[in-house]
Amino acid sequence: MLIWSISGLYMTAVDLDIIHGDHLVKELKPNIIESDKISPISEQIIEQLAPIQSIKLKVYFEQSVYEIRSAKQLTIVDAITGEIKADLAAKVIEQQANEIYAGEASIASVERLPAYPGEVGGRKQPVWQVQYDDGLRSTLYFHVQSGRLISKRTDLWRAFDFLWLLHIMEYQGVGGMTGIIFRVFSITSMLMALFGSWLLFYRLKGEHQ
Amino acid sequence: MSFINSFKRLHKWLALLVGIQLILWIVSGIVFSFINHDSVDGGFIYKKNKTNQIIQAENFAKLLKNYPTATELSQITLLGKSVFKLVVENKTLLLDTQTRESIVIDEDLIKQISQENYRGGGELQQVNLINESSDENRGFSLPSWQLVYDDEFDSHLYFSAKTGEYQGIRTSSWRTFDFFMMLHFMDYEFLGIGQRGDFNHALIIIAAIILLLFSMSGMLLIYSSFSRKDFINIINRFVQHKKFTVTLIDKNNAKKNLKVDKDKRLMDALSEQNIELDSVCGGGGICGGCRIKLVNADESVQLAHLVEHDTLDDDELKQGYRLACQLSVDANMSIELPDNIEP
Repeated sequence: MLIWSISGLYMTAVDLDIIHGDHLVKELKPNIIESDKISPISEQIIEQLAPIQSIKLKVYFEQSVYEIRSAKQLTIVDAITGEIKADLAAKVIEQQANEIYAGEASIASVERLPAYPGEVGGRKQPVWQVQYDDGLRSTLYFHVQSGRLISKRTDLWRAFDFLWLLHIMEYQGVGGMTGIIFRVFSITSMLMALFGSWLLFYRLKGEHQ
Repeated sequence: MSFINSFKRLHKWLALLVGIQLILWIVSGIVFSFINHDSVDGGFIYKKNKTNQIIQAENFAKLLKNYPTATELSQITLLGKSVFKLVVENKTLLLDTQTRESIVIDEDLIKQISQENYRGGGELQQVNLINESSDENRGFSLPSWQLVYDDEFDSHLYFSAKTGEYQGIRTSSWRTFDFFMMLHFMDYEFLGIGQRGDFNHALIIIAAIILLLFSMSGMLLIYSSFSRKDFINIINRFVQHKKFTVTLIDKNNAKKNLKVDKDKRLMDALSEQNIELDSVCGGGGICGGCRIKLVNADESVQLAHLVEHDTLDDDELKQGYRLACQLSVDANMSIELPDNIEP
Protein backbone atom coordinates (compact mmCIF):
# COMPACT_ATOMS: atom_id res chain seq x y z
CA MET A 1 0.00 0.00 0.00
CA LEU A 2 2.88 2.32 0.85
CA ILE A 3 4.55 1.61 -2.50
CA TRP A 4 1.28 2.16 -4.34
CA SER A 5 0.73 5.50 -2.66
CA ILE A 6 4.30 6.74 -3.13
CA SER A 7 4.39 5.79 -6.81
CA GLY A 8 0.85 7.09 -7.30
CA LEU A 9 1.71 10.41 -5.72
CA TYR A 10 4.76 10.86 -7.94
CA MET A 11 2.86 10.00 -11.10
CA THR A 12 0.03 12.41 -10.32
CA ALA A 13 2.07 15.25 -8.85
CA VAL A 14 4.59 15.62 -11.66
CA ASP A 15 2.85 16.81 -14.78
CA LEU A 16 2.92 14.30 -17.63
CA ASP A 17 4.15 16.91 -20.13
CA ILE A 18 7.17 17.54 -17.90
CA ILE A 19 7.73 13.77 -17.58
CA HIS A 20 7.69 13.55 -21.36
CA GLY A 21 10.14 16.42 -21.58
CA ASP A 22 7.94 18.46 -23.92
CA HIS A 23 9.59 21.59 -22.58
CA LEU A 24 12.98 20.36 -23.77
CA VAL A 25 12.39 20.84 -27.46
CA LYS A 26 11.09 23.69 -29.52
CA GLU A 27 8.27 23.09 -31.87
CA LEU A 28 9.73 23.84 -35.24
CA LYS A 29 7.62 25.01 -38.10
CA PRO A 30 7.56 22.34 -40.81
CA ASN A 31 9.74 23.29 -43.76
CA ILE A 32 8.27 23.89 -47.17
CA ILE A 33 9.39 21.42 -49.82
CA GLU A 34 11.31 23.11 -52.64
CA SER A 35 9.87 21.23 -55.57
CA ASP A 36 12.40 22.31 -58.21
CA LYS A 37 15.24 20.51 -56.42
CA ILE A 38 13.42 17.22 -55.97
CA SER A 39 14.50 14.29 -58.09
CA PRO A 40 12.28 11.26 -58.64
CA ILE A 41 12.87 7.90 -57.01
CA SER A 42 14.59 5.49 -59.38
CA GLU A 43 12.82 2.29 -60.37
CA GLN A 44 15.86 0.45 -59.15
CA ILE A 45 15.22 1.54 -55.56
CA ILE A 46 11.52 0.66 -55.84
CA GLU A 47 12.39 -2.83 -57.02
CA GLN A 48 15.01 -3.23 -54.35
CA LEU A 49 12.64 -2.32 -51.52
CA ALA A 50 9.41 -3.98 -52.75
CA PRO A 51 6.79 -4.50 -51.44
CA ILE A 52 6.41 -0.82 -50.53
CA GLN A 53 3.55 0.44 -48.38
CA SER A 54 4.07 4.17 -48.46
CA ILE A 55 6.45 6.88 -49.62
CA LYS A 56 6.66 10.18 -47.78
CA LEU A 57 8.52 13.29 -48.88
CA LYS A 58 9.46 15.60 -46.06
CA VAL A 59 12.08 18.10 -45.00
CA TYR A 60 14.03 17.50 -41.80
CA PHE A 61 16.40 20.33 -40.88
CA GLU A 62 16.68 21.53 -44.49
CA GLN A 63 17.27 18.03 -45.78
CA SER A 64 14.60 16.81 -48.16
CA VAL A 65 14.17 13.06 -47.89
CA TYR A 66 11.88 10.31 -49.10
CA GLU A 67 10.88 7.97 -46.29
CA ILE A 68 10.08 4.66 -47.96
CA ARG A 69 8.21 2.25 -45.71
CA SER A 70 8.22 -1.39 -46.68
CA ALA A 71 7.09 -4.42 -44.72
CA LYS A 72 10.58 -4.93 -43.39
CA GLN A 73 12.05 -1.51 -42.84
CA LEU A 74 12.10 2.22 -43.25
CA THR A 75 14.55 3.47 -45.86
CA ILE A 76 15.62 7.06 -46.25
CA VAL A 77 16.40 8.35 -49.73
CA ASP A 78 17.97 11.73 -50.32
CA ALA A 79 15.36 13.60 -52.34
CA ILE A 80 17.97 15.84 -54.00
CA THR A 81 20.46 13.22 -55.20
CA GLY A 82 17.93 10.39 -55.39
CA GLU A 83 20.27 8.01 -53.63
CA ILE A 84 19.87 6.07 -50.41
CA LYS A 85 21.07 8.40 -47.73
CA ALA A 86 24.27 7.80 -45.82
CA ASP A 87 24.27 8.10 -42.04
CA LEU A 88 24.53 11.63 -40.73
CA ALA A 89 27.76 12.72 -39.12
CA ALA A 90 28.06 13.51 -35.42
CA LYS A 91 28.59 17.19 -36.26
CA VAL A 92 25.33 17.44 -38.18
CA ILE A 93 23.43 15.71 -35.39
CA GLU A 94 24.98 18.03 -32.82
CA GLN A 95 23.98 21.04 -34.86
CA GLN A 96 20.42 19.76 -35.23
CA ALA A 97 20.19 18.94 -31.54
CA ASN A 98 21.20 22.49 -30.62
CA GLU A 99 18.64 23.87 -33.03
CA ILE A 100 15.78 21.96 -31.52
CA TYR A 101 16.85 21.92 -27.85
CA ALA A 102 15.02 24.51 -25.74
CA GLY A 103 16.97 24.12 -22.50
CA GLU A 104 19.98 25.96 -21.13
CA ALA A 105 22.43 23.09 -20.66
CA SER A 106 25.22 22.12 -23.00
CA ILE A 107 25.74 18.81 -24.74
CA ALA A 108 27.59 16.25 -22.64
CA SER A 109 27.93 13.56 -25.28
CA VAL A 110 26.94 12.63 -28.82
CA GLU A 111 27.11 8.94 -29.45
CA ARG A 112 26.06 6.60 -32.23
CA LEU A 113 24.55 3.50 -30.61
CA PRO A 114 24.40 0.23 -32.58
CA ALA A 115 20.82 -0.39 -31.35
CA TYR A 116 18.07 1.54 -29.56
CA PRO A 117 18.67 1.37 -25.81
CA GLY A 118 16.04 -0.35 -23.68
CA GLU A 119 14.48 2.90 -22.50
CA VAL A 120 13.32 3.73 -26.04
CA GLY A 121 12.19 0.27 -27.04
CA GLY A 122 15.36 -1.66 -27.84
CA ARG A 123 14.93 -1.88 -31.63
CA LYS A 124 17.86 -3.43 -33.41
CA GLN A 125 18.69 -0.31 -35.40
CA PRO A 126 21.43 2.25 -34.93
CA VAL A 127 20.49 5.58 -33.38
CA TRP A 128 22.18 8.86 -32.47
CA GLN A 129 22.02 9.63 -28.77
CA VAL A 130 22.64 13.20 -27.58
CA GLN A 131 22.96 13.69 -23.83
CA TYR A 132 22.72 17.03 -22.07
CA ASP A 133 24.53 18.11 -18.97
CA ASP A 134 21.47 19.37 -17.07
CA GLY A 135 21.45 17.22 -13.95
CA LEU A 136 18.55 15.15 -15.22
CA ARG A 137 20.55 13.36 -17.91
CA SER A 138 18.16 14.69 -20.55
CA THR A 139 18.65 12.69 -23.72
CA LEU A 140 17.48 13.19 -27.29
CA TYR A 141 17.45 10.35 -29.83
CA PHE A 142 17.78 11.02 -33.56
CA HIS A 143 17.30 8.82 -36.61
CA VAL A 144 20.73 8.08 -38.07
CA GLN A 145 19.81 8.87 -41.68
CA SER A 146 17.05 11.48 -41.63
CA GLY A 147 18.00 13.19 -38.38
CA ARG A 148 14.38 13.05 -37.27
CA LEU A 149 13.87 13.41 -33.53
CA ILE A 150 12.74 9.94 -32.48
CA SER A 151 12.38 10.30 -28.76
CA LYS A 152 13.49 12.08 -25.62
CA ARG A 153 14.13 10.92 -22.08
CA THR A 154 14.96 12.57 -18.78
CA ASP A 155 15.57 11.13 -15.32
CA LEU A 156 12.05 12.28 -14.41
CA TRP A 157 10.72 9.96 -17.10
CA ARG A 158 13.04 7.14 -16.07
CA ALA A 159 11.81 7.48 -12.47
CA PHE A 160 8.22 7.48 -13.73
CA ASP A 161 8.83 4.25 -15.65
CA PHE A 162 10.43 2.65 -12.60
CA LEU A 163 7.61 3.69 -10.27
CA TRP A 164 5.06 2.55 -12.82
CA LEU A 165 6.59 -0.94 -12.75
CA LEU A 166 6.37 -0.88 -8.96
CA HIS A 167 2.78 0.39 -9.18
CA ILE A 168 1.67 -2.54 -11.34
CA MET A 169 4.03 -4.90 -9.46
CA GLU A 170 5.84 -5.92 -12.64
CA TYR A 171 8.81 -7.30 -10.75
CA GLN A 172 11.45 -8.68 -13.07
CA GLY A 173 12.80 -12.13 -12.53
CA VAL A 174 9.43 -13.41 -11.35
CA GLY A 175 8.50 -14.33 -14.91
CA GLY A 176 4.88 -15.14 -15.69
CA MET A 177 3.81 -14.82 -12.10
CA THR A 178 3.75 -11.05 -12.14
CA GLY A 179 0.05 -10.73 -12.85
CA ILE A 180 -0.71 -13.17 -10.08
CA ILE A 181 1.36 -11.23 -7.56
CA PHE A 182 -0.62 -8.13 -8.41
CA ARG A 183 -3.93 -9.95 -8.10
CA VAL A 184 -3.03 -11.48 -4.74
CA PHE A 185 -1.94 -8.13 -3.34
CA SER A 186 -4.86 -6.18 -4.75
CA ILE A 187 -7.45 -8.66 -3.49
CA THR A 188 -5.77 -8.78 -0.08
CA SER A 189 -5.84 -5.02 0.15
CA MET A 190 -9.50 -5.08 -0.88
CA LEU A 191 -10.22 -7.30 2.13
CA MET A 192 -8.13 -4.97 4.29
CA ALA A 193 -10.10 -1.98 3.06
CA LEU A 194 -13.44 -3.68 3.70
CA PHE A 195 -12.48 -4.73 7.24
CA GLY A 196 -11.07 -1.26 7.74
CA SER A 197 -14.28 0.46 6.69
CA TRP A 198 -16.24 -1.85 8.98
CA LEU A 199 -13.97 -0.90 11.90
CA LEU A 200 -14.22 2.78 10.99
CA PHE A 201 -18.00 2.61 10.84
CA TYR A 202 -18.25 1.10 14.33
CA ARG A 203 -15.69 3.44 15.75
CA LEU A 204 -17.48 6.54 14.52
CA LYS A 205 -20.84 5.15 15.58
CA GLY A 206 -19.45 4.19 19.00
CA GLU A 207 -18.18 7.66 19.71
CA HIS A 208 -21.58 9.24 19.28
CA GLN A 209 -23.16 6.98 21.86
CA MET B 1 1.01 5.20 24.47
CA SER B 2 -0.65 8.57 23.87
CA PHE B 3 1.67 8.84 20.89
CA ILE B 4 0.14 5.68 19.44
CA ASN B 5 -3.34 6.90 20.28
CA SER B 6 -2.87 10.15 18.43
CA PHE B 7 -1.75 8.14 15.41
CA LYS B 8 -4.86 6.02 15.74
CA ARG B 9 -6.98 9.15 15.75
CA LEU B 10 -5.10 10.55 12.73
CA HIS B 11 -5.47 7.24 10.90
CA LYS B 12 -9.20 7.23 11.59
CA TRP B 13 -9.77 10.68 10.11
CA LEU B 14 -7.57 10.00 7.12
CA ALA B 15 -9.60 6.84 6.50
CA LEU B 16 -12.78 8.89 6.47
CA LEU B 17 -11.26 11.34 3.98
CA VAL B 18 -9.78 8.90 1.52
CA GLY B 19 -11.55 5.62 2.32
CA ILE B 20 -14.14 5.54 -0.45
CA GLN B 21 -11.62 6.58 -3.08
CA LEU B 22 -9.20 3.97 -1.74
CA ILE B 23 -11.80 1.26 -2.28
CA LEU B 24 -12.42 2.63 -5.80
CA TRP B 25 -8.67 2.56 -6.48
CA ILE B 26 -8.39 -1.02 -5.35
CA VAL B 27 -11.52 -2.20 -7.17
CA SER B 28 -10.42 -0.55 -10.42
CA GLY B 29 -6.92 -1.99 -9.94
CA ILE B 30 -8.43 -5.46 -9.64
CA VAL B 31 -10.51 -4.83 -12.78
CA PHE B 32 -7.39 -3.75 -14.70
CA SER B 33 -5.60 -6.94 -13.74
CA PHE B 34 -8.47 -9.23 -14.74
CA ILE B 35 -9.81 -7.54 -17.88
CA ASN B 36 -8.78 -8.98 -21.24
CA HIS B 37 -6.33 -6.41 -22.56
CA ASP B 38 -6.56 -7.70 -26.13
CA SER B 39 -10.30 -6.97 -26.22
CA VAL B 40 -9.71 -3.55 -24.66
CA ASP B 41 -7.15 -2.78 -27.35
CA GLY B 42 -9.17 -4.36 -30.17
CA GLY B 43 -6.11 -4.37 -32.44
CA PHE B 44 -7.00 -7.78 -33.84
CA ILE B 45 -10.43 -6.60 -35.03
CA TYR B 46 -9.09 -4.04 -37.49
CA LYS B 47 -5.86 -4.97 -39.24
CA LYS B 48 -4.46 -3.21 -42.28
CA ASN B 49 -4.48 -5.38 -45.32
CA LYS B 50 -0.82 -5.66 -46.21
CA THR B 51 -1.31 -6.90 -49.76
CA ASN B 52 -1.75 -3.36 -51.09
CA GLN B 53 1.54 -2.09 -52.35
CA ILE B 54 3.09 0.66 -54.38
CA ILE B 55 4.53 -0.61 -57.64
CA GLN B 56 5.52 2.66 -59.19
CA ALA B 57 6.61 5.90 -57.58
CA GLU B 58 4.66 8.92 -58.84
CA ASN B 59 6.27 12.16 -59.85
CA PHE B 60 6.32 14.10 -56.60
CA ALA B 61 8.04 17.19 -58.00
CA LYS B 62 5.45 17.75 -60.70
CA LEU B 63 2.55 17.73 -58.26
CA LEU B 64 4.38 20.02 -55.83
CA LYS B 65 4.59 22.76 -58.49
CA ASN B 66 0.88 23.32 -57.93
CA TYR B 67 1.31 23.42 -54.15
CA PRO B 68 4.29 25.66 -53.42
CA THR B 69 3.61 25.78 -49.66
CA ALA B 70 3.33 22.02 -49.13
CA THR B 71 5.32 20.65 -46.18
CA GLU B 72 4.68 16.94 -46.63
CA LEU B 73 3.72 14.76 -49.58
CA SER B 74 3.07 11.03 -49.35
CA GLN B 75 2.10 8.34 -51.78
CA ILE B 76 -0.14 5.77 -50.11
CA THR B 77 -2.63 3.14 -51.22
CA LEU B 78 -6.36 3.52 -50.76
CA LEU B 79 -8.50 0.53 -51.72
CA GLY B 80 -5.75 -0.77 -53.96
CA LYS B 81 -5.19 2.52 -55.76
CA SER B 82 -2.26 4.87 -55.40
CA VAL B 83 -3.20 8.17 -53.82
CA PHE B 84 -1.34 11.33 -52.92
CA LYS B 85 -1.63 12.64 -49.38
CA LEU B 86 -0.59 16.24 -49.18
CA VAL B 87 -0.10 18.50 -46.16
CA VAL B 88 -0.46 22.17 -47.00
CA GLU B 89 -0.52 24.73 -44.23
CA ASN B 90 -1.47 22.10 -41.64
CA LYS B 91 -4.36 20.85 -43.75
CA THR B 92 -4.39 17.38 -45.21
CA LEU B 93 -5.64 16.69 -48.74
CA LEU B 94 -6.11 13.42 -50.59
CA LEU B 95 -5.56 13.55 -54.34
CA ASP B 96 -6.09 11.05 -57.09
CA THR B 97 -2.68 10.42 -58.65
CA GLN B 98 -4.15 10.35 -62.16
CA THR B 99 -6.73 13.11 -62.23
CA ARG B 100 -5.15 15.22 -59.43
CA GLU B 101 -8.63 15.80 -58.12
CA SER B 102 -9.23 15.71 -54.42
CA ILE B 103 -10.83 12.59 -52.99
CA VAL B 104 -13.79 13.09 -50.67
CA ILE B 105 -14.17 10.49 -47.96
CA ASP B 106 -17.90 9.89 -48.21
CA GLU B 107 -20.03 7.22 -46.61
CA ASP B 108 -19.59 4.79 -49.48
CA LEU B 109 -15.84 5.09 -49.53
CA ILE B 110 -15.43 4.72 -45.77
CA LYS B 111 -17.61 1.59 -45.81
CA GLN B 112 -15.32 0.06 -48.43
CA ILE B 113 -12.19 1.02 -46.54
CA SER B 114 -13.51 -0.49 -43.33
CA GLN B 115 -14.80 -3.67 -44.94
CA GLU B 116 -11.40 -4.27 -46.51
CA ASN B 117 -9.62 -4.44 -43.15
CA TYR B 118 -12.28 -5.40 -40.61
CA ARG B 119 -11.85 -8.88 -39.10
CA GLY B 120 -14.34 -8.86 -36.21
CA GLY B 121 -16.87 -11.22 -37.76
CA GLY B 122 -19.88 -8.90 -37.41
CA GLU B 123 -22.13 -6.99 -39.76
CA LEU B 124 -21.95 -3.25 -40.32
CA GLN B 125 -25.00 -1.68 -38.69
CA GLN B 126 -24.56 2.08 -38.83
CA VAL B 127 -22.33 4.74 -40.33
CA ASN B 128 -22.37 8.07 -38.50
CA LEU B 129 -20.54 11.29 -39.16
CA ILE B 130 -19.42 12.57 -35.75
CA ASN B 131 -18.81 16.27 -35.26
CA GLU B 132 -18.67 16.43 -31.49
CA SER B 133 -16.08 15.13 -29.11
CA SER B 134 -17.20 12.52 -26.58
CA ASP B 135 -15.63 10.23 -23.99
CA GLU B 136 -15.37 7.56 -26.62
CA ASN B 137 -13.80 9.51 -29.49
CA ARG B 138 -11.63 11.89 -27.48
CA GLY B 139 -8.24 12.40 -29.05
CA PHE B 140 -9.52 11.70 -32.58
CA SER B 141 -9.55 14.61 -34.98
CA LEU B 142 -13.03 15.68 -36.05
CA PRO B 143 -15.13 15.27 -38.12
CA SER B 144 -14.86 11.54 -37.80
CA TRP B 145 -16.72 8.60 -39.34
CA GLN B 146 -18.07 6.12 -36.80
CA LEU B 147 -18.81 2.60 -38.08
CA VAL B 148 -20.89 0.45 -35.72
CA TYR B 149 -20.60 -3.33 -36.01
CA ASP B 150 -22.78 -5.94 -34.30
CA ASP B 151 -19.92 -8.26 -33.33
CA GLU B 152 -19.35 -9.75 -29.89
CA PHE B 153 -17.05 -6.84 -28.98
CA ASP B 154 -19.66 -4.20 -29.75
CA SER B 155 -17.04 -2.54 -31.98
CA HIS B 156 -17.12 1.10 -33.00
CA LEU B 157 -14.50 1.94 -35.62
CA TYR B 158 -13.38 5.52 -36.14
CA PHE B 159 -11.92 7.07 -39.30
CA SER B 160 -10.90 10.61 -40.09
CA ALA B 161 -13.52 12.12 -42.38
CA LYS B 162 -10.82 14.27 -43.98
CA THR B 163 -8.22 11.68 -44.86
CA GLY B 164 -10.00 8.34 -44.37
CA GLU B 165 -7.27 7.34 -41.97
CA TYR B 166 -8.10 4.75 -39.33
CA GLN B 167 -8.20 6.45 -35.93
CA GLY B 168 -9.01 3.60 -33.60
CA ILE B 169 -11.50 1.11 -32.28
CA ARG B 170 -13.68 1.22 -29.17
CA THR B 171 -14.99 -2.08 -27.82
CA SER B 172 -17.28 -2.85 -24.88
CA SER B 173 -14.17 -3.97 -22.95
CA TRP B 174 -12.60 -0.61 -23.74
CA ARG B 175 -15.70 1.17 -22.40
CA THR B 176 -15.53 -0.83 -19.16
CA PHE B 177 -11.80 -0.23 -18.87
CA ASP B 178 -12.25 3.47 -19.52
CA PHE B 179 -14.98 3.76 -16.88
CA PHE B 180 -12.70 2.27 -14.23
CA MET B 181 -9.85 4.42 -15.54
CA MET B 182 -12.06 7.43 -14.85
CA LEU B 183 -12.56 6.19 -11.27
CA HIS B 184 -8.84 5.43 -10.88
CA PHE B 185 -7.78 8.84 -12.18
CA MET B 186 -10.60 10.60 -10.27
CA ASP B 187 -11.75 12.31 -13.45
CA TYR B 188 -15.07 13.28 -11.92
CA GLU B 189 -16.26 15.60 -14.64
CA PHE B 190 -19.69 15.91 -13.01
CA LEU B 191 -17.89 17.58 -10.09
CA GLY B 192 -16.05 19.78 -12.54
CA ILE B 193 -12.79 17.98 -11.79
CA GLY B 194 -10.33 16.48 -14.20
CA GLN B 195 -10.67 15.57 -17.84
CA ARG B 196 -10.98 12.02 -19.05
CA GLY B 197 -7.52 10.50 -19.13
CA ASP B 198 -5.92 13.28 -17.10
CA PHE B 199 -4.20 12.25 -13.88
CA ASN B 200 -2.41 15.46 -12.99
CA HIS B 201 -5.22 17.48 -11.45
CA ALA B 202 -5.35 18.95 -7.94
CA LEU B 203 -7.94 16.56 -6.50
CA ILE B 204 -5.99 13.40 -7.22
CA ILE B 205 -2.74 14.93 -6.00
CA ILE B 206 -4.38 15.87 -2.69
CA ALA B 207 -5.99 12.43 -2.43
CA ALA B 208 -2.64 10.80 -3.12
CA ILE B 209 -0.98 12.85 -0.39
CA ILE B 210 -3.71 11.84 2.10
CA LEU B 211 -3.34 8.22 1.03
CA LEU B 212 0.39 8.42 1.59
CA LEU B 213 -0.14 9.77 5.13
CA PHE B 214 -2.78 7.10 5.65
CA SER B 215 -0.42 4.31 4.56
CA MET B 216 2.39 5.66 6.69
CA SER B 217 0.27 5.95 9.83
CA GLY B 218 -1.12 2.50 9.05
CA MET B 219 2.37 1.04 8.80
CA LEU B 220 3.27 2.62 12.12
CA LEU B 221 0.16 1.21 13.77
CA ILE B 222 0.80 -2.24 12.35
CA TYR B 223 4.33 -2.06 13.69
CA SER B 224 3.19 -0.96 17.14
CA SER B 225 0.26 -3.35 17.41
CA PHE B 226 2.46 -6.40 16.97
CA SER B 227 4.65 -7.50 19.84
CA ARG B 228 7.22 -10.24 19.89
CA LYS B 229 4.75 -12.37 21.84
CA ASP B 230 2.37 -12.51 18.84
CA PHE B 231 5.01 -14.13 16.72
CA ILE B 232 6.13 -16.51 19.48
CA ASN B 233 2.51 -17.57 19.94
CA ILE B 234 2.20 -18.30 16.24
CA ILE B 235 5.42 -20.27 16.23
CA ASN B 236 4.32 -22.20 19.31
CA ARG B 237 1.10 -23.12 17.64
CA PHE B 238 2.93 -24.71 14.75
CA VAL B 239 5.92 -26.22 16.52
CA GLN B 240 5.05 -29.46 18.29
CA HIS B 241 5.81 -29.07 21.95
CA LYS B 242 8.01 -31.54 23.69
CA LYS B 243 6.24 -33.19 26.58
CA PHE B 244 7.48 -34.88 29.77
CA THR B 245 5.83 -37.30 32.11
CA VAL B 246 5.17 -36.22 35.67
CA THR B 247 4.20 -39.13 37.92
CA LEU B 248 2.07 -38.13 40.91
CA ILE B 249 2.21 -40.29 44.01
CA ASP B 250 -0.30 -39.76 46.82
CA LYS B 251 -0.12 -40.86 50.47
CA ASN B 252 -1.56 -44.26 49.58
CA ASN B 253 1.21 -44.75 47.03
CA ALA B 254 -1.31 -44.57 44.19
CA LYS B 255 0.29 -43.27 40.98
CA LYS B 256 -0.99 -41.12 38.19
CA ASN B 257 0.87 -39.96 35.06
CA LEU B 258 0.54 -36.49 33.61
CA LYS B 259 1.85 -35.36 30.22
CA VAL B 260 3.19 -31.85 30.69
CA ASP B 261 4.56 -29.39 28.08
CA LYS B 262 8.24 -28.70 28.39
CA ASP B 263 9.12 -25.67 30.49
CA LYS B 264 5.67 -25.38 32.04
CA ARG B 265 5.61 -24.48 35.70
CA LEU B 266 4.75 -27.57 37.73
CA MET B 267 2.22 -25.61 39.78
CA ASP B 268 0.39 -24.49 36.61
CA ALA B 269 0.44 -28.04 35.22
CA LEU B 270 -1.13 -29.36 38.45
CA SER B 271 -3.63 -26.55 38.54
CA GLU B 272 -4.78 -27.47 35.02
CA GLN B 273 -5.60 -30.91 36.45
CA ASN B 274 -7.60 -29.23 39.24
CA ILE B 275 -4.92 -30.10 41.75
CA GLU B 276 -4.72 -26.87 43.74
CA LEU B 277 -1.84 -26.65 46.13
CA ASP B 278 -2.27 -24.47 49.25
CA SER B 279 -0.39 -21.51 47.85
CA VAL B 280 -1.01 -18.25 49.62
CA CYS B 281 1.54 -16.07 47.90
CA GLY B 282 0.26 -17.01 44.43
CA GLY B 283 3.44 -18.55 43.16
CA GLY B 284 5.94 -16.10 44.58
CA GLY B 285 7.96 -18.80 46.30
CA ILE B 286 7.56 -17.15 49.71
CA CYS B 287 4.79 -19.02 51.57
CA GLY B 288 6.01 -22.54 50.97
CA GLY B 289 2.43 -23.71 50.60
CA CYS B 290 3.07 -25.44 47.29
CA ARG B 291 5.81 -27.71 48.52
CA ILE B 292 6.02 -31.15 46.94
CA LYS B 293 8.61 -33.90 47.27
CA LEU B 294 10.71 -34.98 44.30
CA VAL B 295 11.07 -38.74 44.44
CA ASN B 296 12.84 -39.34 41.26
CA ALA B 297 14.13 -36.76 38.79
CA ASP B 298 16.99 -35.63 36.62
CA GLU B 299 19.73 -33.66 38.33
CA SER B 300 18.76 -30.57 36.38
CA VAL B 301 15.37 -30.60 38.07
CA GLN B 302 16.83 -31.32 41.49
CA LEU B 303 18.84 -28.13 41.63
CA ALA B 304 16.97 -25.77 43.90
CA HIS B 305 16.33 -22.08 43.21
CA LEU B 306 17.56 -19.34 45.51
CA VAL B 307 14.06 -18.58 46.82
CA GLU B 308 13.63 -22.24 47.66
CA HIS B 309 16.76 -22.04 49.81
CA ASP B 310 15.09 -19.21 51.70
CA THR B 311 11.72 -20.86 52.12
CA LEU B 312 12.75 -24.47 52.77
CA ASP B 313 15.40 -25.52 55.27
CA ASP B 314 18.41 -27.62 54.37
CA ASP B 315 16.91 -30.83 55.71
CA GLU B 316 13.83 -30.45 53.61
CA LEU B 317 15.93 -29.71 50.51
CA LYS B 318 18.04 -32.78 51.13
CA GLN B 319 14.93 -34.91 51.40
CA GLY B 320 13.91 -33.62 47.97
CA TYR B 321 11.27 -31.05 48.89
CA ARG B 322 10.76 -28.34 46.33
CA LEU B 323 8.31 -25.54 45.58
CA ALA B 324 6.00 -26.40 42.67
CA CYS B 325 5.80 -22.72 41.76
CA GLN B 326 9.55 -22.58 41.09
CA LEU B 327 9.92 -25.88 39.31
CA SER B 328 9.75 -25.93 35.57
CA VAL B 329 9.12 -29.26 33.93
CA ASP B 330 12.13 -29.93 31.73
CA ALA B 331 12.56 -33.64 32.45
CA ASN B 332 10.53 -36.65 33.49
CA MET B 333 9.92 -36.74 37.22
CA SER B 334 8.01 -38.45 40.02
CA ILE B 335 6.62 -36.33 42.83
CA GLU B 336 4.82 -36.93 46.11
CA LEU B 337 1.91 -34.60 46.75
CA PRO B 338 1.13 -33.26 50.23
CA ASP B 339 -1.01 -35.61 52.32
CA ASN B 340 -4.13 -33.48 52.06
CA ILE B 341 -4.09 -33.45 48.25
CA GLU B 342 -5.46 -36.24 46.09
CA PRO B 343 -4.53 -36.51 42.47
